[in-house]
This record gives sequence, structure tokens and C-alpha cells, in this order.
Amino acid sequence: MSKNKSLAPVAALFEFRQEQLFIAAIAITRDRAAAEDVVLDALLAVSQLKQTPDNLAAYVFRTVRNKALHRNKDVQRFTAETDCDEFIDTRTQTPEQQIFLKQILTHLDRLESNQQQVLIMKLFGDLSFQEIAEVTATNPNTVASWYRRGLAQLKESLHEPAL
Amino acid sequence: MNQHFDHHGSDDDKDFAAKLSAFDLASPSKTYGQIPQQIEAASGQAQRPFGSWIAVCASVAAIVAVILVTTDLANTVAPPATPIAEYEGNSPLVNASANVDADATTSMYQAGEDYLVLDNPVATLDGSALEVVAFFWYPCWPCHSFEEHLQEWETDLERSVALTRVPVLWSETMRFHARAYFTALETGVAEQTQLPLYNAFRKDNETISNDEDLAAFFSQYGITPRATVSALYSEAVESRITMAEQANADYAVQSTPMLFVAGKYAISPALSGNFAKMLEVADYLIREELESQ
Repeated sequence: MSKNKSLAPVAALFEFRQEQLFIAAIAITRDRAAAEDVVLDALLAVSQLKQTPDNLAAYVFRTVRNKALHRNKDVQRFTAETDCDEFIDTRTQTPEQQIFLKQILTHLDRLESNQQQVLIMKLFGDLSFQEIAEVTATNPNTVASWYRRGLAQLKESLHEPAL
Repeated sequence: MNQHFDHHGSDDDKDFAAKLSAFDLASPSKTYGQIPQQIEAASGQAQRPFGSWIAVCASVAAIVAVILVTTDLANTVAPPATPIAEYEGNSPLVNASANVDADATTSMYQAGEDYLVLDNPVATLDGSALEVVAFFWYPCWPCHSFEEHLQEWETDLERSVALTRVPVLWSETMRFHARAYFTALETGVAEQTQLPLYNAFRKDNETISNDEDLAAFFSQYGITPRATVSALYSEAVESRITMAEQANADYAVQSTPMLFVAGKYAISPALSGNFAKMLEVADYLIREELESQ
């Protein structure tokens, strides 16, 4: 832990990783406002530590993940019908695409939690396996494995409907 | 980049993934970018360096796109630190701020305030000169702005001072960026390509993502694709990457841009507040070191 406590490192972290922090949060919360709250809560908690963690980024991402998981325990389980618009930008989608999207989200919700999060971060957030591994404090090869299995299961469950 | 990990399996899987990727996640609200201010308000802190720093953060969220394309503005704004390190290890910077010189109060710049003193000095790469090491990463836009200052500063350096640029190597992606830099060095075009490479690796408009892109980039500077690919995986470049890895580990750098002077002192934008002051502090430390030799 560094004795040189300051808010600057936390603000710097947010400045350069705000998009990944948001994606890491929304991958779990599936709710835009909740994701923002989770990021704020996590950064607030870290900023109030007496000492700055040595690996601040890893610590913050773990805190975001933990807070998002904790928040999900307290709210009604995600349903594609109610939260779709808060999770995916549907403004540019055709009605057919929106129907497909809701199907995806419904089936996505049936996957294992790790697979869901990796798929969301990879497919919708465009994070690399390396970045997801950093977010989830996991080996990139493990992340890749979750991704492949999750994608295969999702594809199977959807029977590959056309867009 | 990340080709090792980012293969998607079969073509069917790729097509399916591409269909899904066409959907965009919901964007955060406008107030999301104001989180740093909310934290500052909640913490009730108003430290001098952070006070000015946080103002930049607030504005950056709104004007970052403009800053990225308006170099002049980027030169005048004092962007804060830094993309974040994932380096796992014992940093010589830890507790470094506690090492304040006994006579620091009479110095122009203060240890612990304007720069940090490393607990464990690092052996410099170039033993024949007083070495200044600048850590950087191409997609880091503060590094881009700092590089412009650094190039101007470099022209006035004394002969007894050597400036060494070292790319940070915290991930496979960064290794690719480092390979690009060292290829530029090996092919003798680094001075010409350094700033253009920052533009090419910009996060919001990345134009180089693989060896072929890099070969096309260097061809603009008279380097044939064959020569580029040959240099990319040459022993010379591998050796430079190995040295950079060692420097990354030795200095345990956790943010960029970052300057180290004589293997003893660390200077960062977070401490100095702006790039011009970073270099003033470097000048000061260089003078102190040369006088003590």
C-alpha cells in the first residue's frame, strides 16, 4: 500500500478506464443507471481507503464486480422484457432486430454467470480477452474458454435465427 | 492484436458473434463523466495538485475528442496521469514519497511533492551518461502530448545526459505497440515515426492492428514491408523488448507518461501537474545529479 494517499490516482483511473468500468458493471447489472451507481460506489469506496492499493486498477475492477454482484442480489432478477432498453442501445434497431435482441438476452440469462459476463464484455463491449481477464482477475485462456462455451450454448439455444 | 486469445472458433461462430456484436451496449449518461467531482465532493478534499487536476478530468470527459485532434490545445492543457498499470509486484515507488531529502525545504523542487525518490535505485541502461528514462504507451493520449514536449526538450539536452524511451509492457497488446516502436528504432525511422505512431494507435481511431498494417505504415517512410516484417521479429527487436521488460520490472512503473532520472527519481504528471513542470523538475534533478558527480 502506498502512503501517498491522494484522490488523483482514482480520478486518473476513471479518466482512462471509464468505459471498461462501465462495461464491467453493466455486464452484471444489465442496467445502465445501476452500472453507473456501481462504478461511483466502487470508486468512492476505494477513494476512502486509508492507503492506496498497490495495484489500483485491479482493485477497482474487483470492487466494481463485487458491488455489481452484491447489487444484483438485492434487486429483482433481470428480465429481457423490462431491462432491454436499459442494457442495449435499441434506438437504431429495427423492430425485427429488437425482437431478436430480446431473445438473445433471455437466453443469455440462462448461461452461467461467468459466461454471460464474458459474452457481454466481448460481444457488446468490445473488450479483448486480455482486458476481460484483467476485469475478472482471471487468466485470458480461461476467459476465452468461457467465451467459446457460452457462445456455443447461446447459438444452440437460439437455433441461429436470422437477423 | 490479441490474436492469440481472440480467435472465435469456427466461421459459423464468427458469423454468429458478428451478428451479436452489431448491437451496442447502452451508453452511460452524461453525468457518468462527473464521477470524479462527485468523489471529490464526497471526500471533502481540496488538495492543490488534485484540485487543478480534477478540473481537467471534468472537462476532458466532454472535450476529449476535441483534444485528441487539436494538438495545440493538447499542448497547453495539463492532462493528468495516466493509463493504469496492471503490474503485479513490489513497486520501488511504494513508500518512495517518504524519502524526503533532509535539506529539501531549501530546494526549488521538493521530494515527495514534485518528484519521488525511489527506495531502491535502479541500475541505468546506459552507464556512460546520466540516464533519463521516459515510459510511454502509444494509445495513451497524455503520452502523445508529453512526447511533443519531450522532443523539444530533448534537443537541448547536454551530451552527458541520455534520454531513453521505454514502452510499458503490461499486456500482449502493449507488446505489439512496443514491437512497433523498436522496429522503428531498428529501421532508423523512429524520429520520424514516433508522433505518427501515436496517431495510428489512437484508441478512438486505431489504424494499426496487426503486422500488415504496421508494414503499410512503415512503407510511408521508405521501409519495405519485407524489411518491416523482418525487423519486427528480429533478434535485435526481441533483445530490446527483453531489456524493456526488465526496465518495466525494475522501475515497476504503474502509469504513463512517467520519467525517471538517474535511476533514482520518479516524475509524473500527477505530482507535477503539467508536462512543462515535469521537464523543469527533470532539469532540476539532472543539474543536482551532475553537480554531485
